[in-house]
Amino acid sequence: MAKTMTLDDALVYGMKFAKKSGADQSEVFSVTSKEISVDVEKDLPKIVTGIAEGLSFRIVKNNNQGFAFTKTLTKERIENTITIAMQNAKAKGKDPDFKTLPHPSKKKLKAFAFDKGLEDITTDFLANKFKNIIDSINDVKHLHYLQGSIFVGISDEHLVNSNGVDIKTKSGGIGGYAAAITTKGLIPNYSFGIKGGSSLKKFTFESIAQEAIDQTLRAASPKTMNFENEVSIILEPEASLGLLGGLFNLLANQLQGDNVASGATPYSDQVGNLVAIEDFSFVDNAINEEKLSTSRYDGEGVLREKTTLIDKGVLKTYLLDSYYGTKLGLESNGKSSRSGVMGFGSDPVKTPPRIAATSLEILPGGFSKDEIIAETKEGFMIRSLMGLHMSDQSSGRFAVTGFGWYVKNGEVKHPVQGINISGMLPDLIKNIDMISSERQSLLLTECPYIRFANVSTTGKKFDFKTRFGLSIIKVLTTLKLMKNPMF
Amino acid sequence: MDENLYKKIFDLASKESPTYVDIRDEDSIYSSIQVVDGKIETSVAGTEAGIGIRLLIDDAWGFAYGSKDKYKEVFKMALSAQKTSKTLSKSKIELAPVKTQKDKVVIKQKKPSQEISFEEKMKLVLDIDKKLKDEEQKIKATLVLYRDVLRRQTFTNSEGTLIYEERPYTFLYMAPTAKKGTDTNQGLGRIGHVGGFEIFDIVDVNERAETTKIRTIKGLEAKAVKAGRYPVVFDGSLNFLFAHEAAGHSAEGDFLRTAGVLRNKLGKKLAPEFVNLIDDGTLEYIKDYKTRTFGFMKYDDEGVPVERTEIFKNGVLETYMTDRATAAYHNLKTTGNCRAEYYSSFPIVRMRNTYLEASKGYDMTEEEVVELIDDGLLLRRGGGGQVDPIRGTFNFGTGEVYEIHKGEIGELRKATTISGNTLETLGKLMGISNHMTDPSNSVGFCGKDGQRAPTGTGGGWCAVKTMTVGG
Repeated sequence: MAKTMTLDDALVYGMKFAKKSGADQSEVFSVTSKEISVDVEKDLPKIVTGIAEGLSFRIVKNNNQGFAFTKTLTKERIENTITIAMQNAKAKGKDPDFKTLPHPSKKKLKAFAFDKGLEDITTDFLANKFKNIIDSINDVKHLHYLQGSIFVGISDEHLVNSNGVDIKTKSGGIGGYAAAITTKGLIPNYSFGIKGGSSLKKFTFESIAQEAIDQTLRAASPKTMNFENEVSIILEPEASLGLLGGLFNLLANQLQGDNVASGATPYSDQVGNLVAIEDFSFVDNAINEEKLSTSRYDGEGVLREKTTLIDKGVLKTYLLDSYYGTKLGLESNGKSSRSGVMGFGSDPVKTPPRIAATSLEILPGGFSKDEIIAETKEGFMIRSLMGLHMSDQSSGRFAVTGFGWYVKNGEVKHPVQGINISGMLPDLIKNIDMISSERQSLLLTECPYIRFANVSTTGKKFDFKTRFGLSIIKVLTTLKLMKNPMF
Repeated sequence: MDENLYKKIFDLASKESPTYVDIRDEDSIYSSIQVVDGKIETSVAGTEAGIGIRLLIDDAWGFAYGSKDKYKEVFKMALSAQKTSKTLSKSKIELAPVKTQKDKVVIKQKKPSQEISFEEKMKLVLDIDKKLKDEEQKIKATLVLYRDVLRRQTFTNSEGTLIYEERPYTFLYMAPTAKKGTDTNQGLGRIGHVGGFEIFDIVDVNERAETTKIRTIKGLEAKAVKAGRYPVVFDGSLNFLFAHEAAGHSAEGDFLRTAGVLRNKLGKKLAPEFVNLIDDGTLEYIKDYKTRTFGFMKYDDEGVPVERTEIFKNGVLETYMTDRATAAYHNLKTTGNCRAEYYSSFPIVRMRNTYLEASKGYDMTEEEVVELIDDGLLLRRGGGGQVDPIRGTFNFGTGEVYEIHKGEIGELRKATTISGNTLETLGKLMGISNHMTDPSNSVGFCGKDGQRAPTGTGGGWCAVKTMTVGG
């Protein structure tokens, strides 16, 4: 086995080798990431721990950049990796839009606090907490714990470039979810609680269980409905900006500088224009320290900031890194990212810096949630959406399937499965008619309840055969002649 | 392959009297190029390496990963994970017995992608990007992504199995965007296989770029379908998407331990007699095509030989897809469906090549399938899907929609999505053609538990009585 270097030595060696090889500019990013995750599916635990480390390089040659990475820290692999990055940069030819790798920020700001308590977390500690979550759910009548996970991630990152950027960052967070199923009613249904943040001190495991319980109880006894109309749709925060897919994540994609530069979004050349109703403001608050894995600097060493993308309906700017900032004649607003969040998304070593939102927020409106419901003659309140990733990013055309509640004459009537809503997002945000004053703090985002007018909505009742089958199961399980086959 | 290292790890493990230990040792090679509007936006090359150790002791799993030189630390972490796992575990874990395997599998590349110069790959991608542009400049934006991966992995376990495998993937995506005023339409073309750069000699990549461009422009100009319920015909890609996303995910043995619409339904007739749901890892080539399917492999990530699994046979749910633990749990035989994205991923039940097939005597031509529909829609070019296997609901993208009038294919409509309920849709199948479609087009990456797995492949056309179409 060839001799392996320490990560620090490998970084220093990489910078030296890049210079020696004739790089015009170079950047080395090293990361050591530690993961603990405790997953429990019903009664089967899966516990994973791991430490991954690696190096990635951006090499600039002939006014273009090449990217390469390695997880093997031998001299030979590091040299090969840099050579490949260099060859790639050379072969690409001059890029007139590329000016330079970032320079060190003139502002010197204190790094975000890292909760050292995260480093002391053990699998035993998480397992004990998990037992409590499972017990709390199973103690509630008609509820059964289904599956869940708690994860802790800590990463030590070091970013160095030949322009003098030298940033060490330690960040981390803890998060988790639990899902429960309810047998109340004809159709079993499930829901979940999901919580997380950068601080162990502020994290309460009980809140995951409580949210899973509350949400599953309110999701119990769902119906399916034959429905075809244009009605009001109220998006709960989870359906707007949830980690598992929110409609406004699509808007964030459309405001990414790379998509804007290529024209693959309706918002190219729209800065200064009214693109939404005047009560709608959309912000990427990348300096919200409470959120998972936040850090002072972005993926290429530029200071992160709170960026107002849409202010009172007017498009103000885009999500930008240094390359696309330059290309669009603007400045980077620190949106370069190397990863997803703690297991959701990509590996930071393997991912070239690219534009991504950090912590999106929709600013509160002037109505209470109750007022929004009370003012709704007919419509649906939606908590989860499925199929958003199939939306047409370029136009914002979407057709998704959701779970939520039927609202009639100002009252929430019953949960509904299989609500299909469709439309064009650019039109939809001009069609918002109510925004709540209360917001929910989600894993990465902050979001109010939002109502849209006249959204094309369809639903379909289960056919007779399915309903008949469910009725038989219900009778047999109620009489305790069989176990519910669903779980 | 580092047998000395594996012996050291097994020696460490033997002190803990394990039921079972396995090691995945990976050293894979990656390269990718992404071109946006004629310019190389990203080029990535690299190697992914490390080991994952999985221990089963006293009915509890422990898993850890890290670099090979820190194998002692990785083992210690796996053991610690197992000990904690034991405190939560309430059920017995057994592994279905399998034959031990000693094998070296190198899936051949006629033109190894790793030996192709960056310049040549770059030229290919830039040429395709040019092909996606049109003279009338209706295509306003283009994106082309090329990627090759050589997955090099040794799998070994405490039962004596030792398999070294090299499995190459080469693929290319193209996504032109047509725009008129504020209306836009993004198209998608794919080419990929298990193999090397020779795919670009086998498949006419220029022709595929041309048809992708034309489809994208026509899709922009097409009228939208009114949202509602329609009788539909799935093309091969949507057969694959439905078979994989809706029916397949609902039949994965690991999830079915917990919940799901197919739970406790083994042996039940849930679809018409002519319906078979197949998941086939052994399907290397499809008749008349020269590229390997994207779900082809020899062994799964527990060293179990893959097989052709008939999940539904003549409409009856015959089996679930299993790894060794879920096979034992459900009292089924192993199907070779255990897969892990990387050495650092906990192996889970995944699919390979999944499609609906007609039973003997029920096979139809594509024309006959269309004729089953009086007035409805032909849905083509499935693109992305999502399923909720507990509620049994699904939502798919469909890149092209055509009207069907009196059994004849008519006007093109805009791309949309479809949604439905898995069991209801299975019950509403009207007919299936076994004329499978070009596997180089059916290149998918399935996501589950944060892991991605390459999967295929396009089946034949099939008709469904009613389906919700998005609008």
